[in-house]
Amino acid sequence: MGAEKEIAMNPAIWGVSDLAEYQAKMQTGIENLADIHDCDVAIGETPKDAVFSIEKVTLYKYRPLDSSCTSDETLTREPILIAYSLFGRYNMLDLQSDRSVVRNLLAQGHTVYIIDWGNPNKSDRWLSYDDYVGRYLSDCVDFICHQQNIERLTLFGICEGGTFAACYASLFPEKLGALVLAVTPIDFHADLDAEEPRKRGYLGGMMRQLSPAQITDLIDSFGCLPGHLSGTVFREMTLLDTCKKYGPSLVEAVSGSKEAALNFLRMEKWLLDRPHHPAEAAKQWLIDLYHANRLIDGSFLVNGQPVLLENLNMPVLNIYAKHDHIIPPPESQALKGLVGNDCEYRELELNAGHIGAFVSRRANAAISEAISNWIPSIEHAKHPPQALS
Amino acid sequence: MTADKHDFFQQWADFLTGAVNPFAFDEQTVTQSKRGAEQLFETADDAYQTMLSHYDRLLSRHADKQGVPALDTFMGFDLKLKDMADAYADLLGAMANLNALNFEAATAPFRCADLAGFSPEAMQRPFEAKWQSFVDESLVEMQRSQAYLTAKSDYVSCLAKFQKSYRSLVESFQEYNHAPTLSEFEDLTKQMHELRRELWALKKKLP
Repeated sequence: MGAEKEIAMNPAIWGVSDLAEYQAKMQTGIENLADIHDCDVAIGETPKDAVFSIEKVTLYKYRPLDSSCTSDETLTREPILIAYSLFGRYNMLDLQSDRSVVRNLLAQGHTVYIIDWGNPNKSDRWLSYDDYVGRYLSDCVDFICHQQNIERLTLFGICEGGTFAACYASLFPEKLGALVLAVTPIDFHADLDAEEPRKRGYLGGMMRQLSPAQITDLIDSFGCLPGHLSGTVFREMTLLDTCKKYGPSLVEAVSGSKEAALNFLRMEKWLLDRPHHPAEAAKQWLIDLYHANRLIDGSFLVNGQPVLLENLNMPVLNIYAKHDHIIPPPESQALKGLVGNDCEYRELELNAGHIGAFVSRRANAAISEAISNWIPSIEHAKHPPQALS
Repeated sequence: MTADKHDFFQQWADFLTGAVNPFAFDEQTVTQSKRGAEQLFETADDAYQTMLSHYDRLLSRHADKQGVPALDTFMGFDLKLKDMADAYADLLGAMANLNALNFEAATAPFRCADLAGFSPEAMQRPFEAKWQSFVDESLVEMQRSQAYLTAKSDYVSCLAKFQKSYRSLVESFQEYNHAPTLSEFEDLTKQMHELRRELWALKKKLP
């Protein structure tokens, strides 16, 4: 580029007024950060009690928002059990008081339980879907039904937790009054035919390129799927945004109001707190599901039993995010053609991304309202289900 | 080192000059920067291979003589160290390939942009956002390309190989120092896991 053009461009980029504005923002950002402490960036603060545990897994029951009301006496709708993914912490659903799916459900009088999968390490490398679906999720459902003296409840699964929930619902349909899935992949190859590159999933493409031996080697070499490795993969999906976020946009993020800076820090706290994924379950996720797409043809097994999505005969609400770059919508929408004939099936499209569906105010409210309207009455939960035809 | 030290630092300088020039988005400068990086790695690889050949000659200096037993002075530890070093070099090469693809995709919109009609007024926020979206699209398209997937596959294999060789080296050290290894730990946890599942199944059968 010629020297003349360089000179002409420089003032536009580094104009004195722009520089002064940037410096002022930096100053505000520094002042905000100096005034913020660790305890201010707490997430998942809605009060809850640990009511059951099995090995490292803990089942929490949230306290009613109105502490004078005991939810056991006023149970009018099926309790809802939330199962999150193993790739992040469950407390994303309760990020802060004004962006909390959990609080929204509690505000509408629902009884909410959530599963904390714990902190897997190398000693948990042998845990698989047989354990997460067949033991942990199953025991949590049984506990809640026993505690609440009901036959069925509503299961809400998110992302990989949704895949857990779909597997459980297929194996034990009589235990669920309703199923809610959010940003859940069902057909892991549904994005193959997308013409636009952006609509083809990054993860799917990579897992289809790698051989099962390569994936096994990688996971075995670490003894797990490390949280920092999966975090890096998620960050590189949006490479430019990641570079900007920790570069030029960082000053913008912390230089607004103190509350805006806290919002940013809470999100970062959740994003960077990635647990390790147990090795055998990770191999099933990446090889059986992502690479071989076994869920849609009934060849995926849990405890030796095939997972048959046609067994889903309860009301199913399938929520997906229109701009989801991690789970492209077709991967979730594929469930429509796979559920049982008796299944009351409904989809909800959110104008948000994979995480934005839960942390953006508008999408958060939409998701909470849709789920609230989907949960059956308690009378439904107390009667035995009809026999499968 | 087989390469002259002066040449080596010149290659570093060429690469850095190309990389830090904020307006170096024309084809010639990007190519120069890439060539500098390639030459840099070739020189480093030459030096490494020379060092390895010296080491191999040292270990095998008596191999030609008849009747001399093969020595295992370091109980295989040296060979595991060599394997790890080889794996690390391969990993660096795979990472460099990926970074080269990212760099090429990130700079492609600049090289294609028509800068003749540039003006300071054009460098306003809406233009920056537009330009960023070009770079984003270029990166997304590159990440779905076969070249990237192949480079990523190579990277995954190299990463696994490096981790395995590193683990093998560490486990050698642990064994010779009477410390439990990760492999033994995995053996133990597998048995515990199976026992836990049996116990769970038995509890389910209890009234």
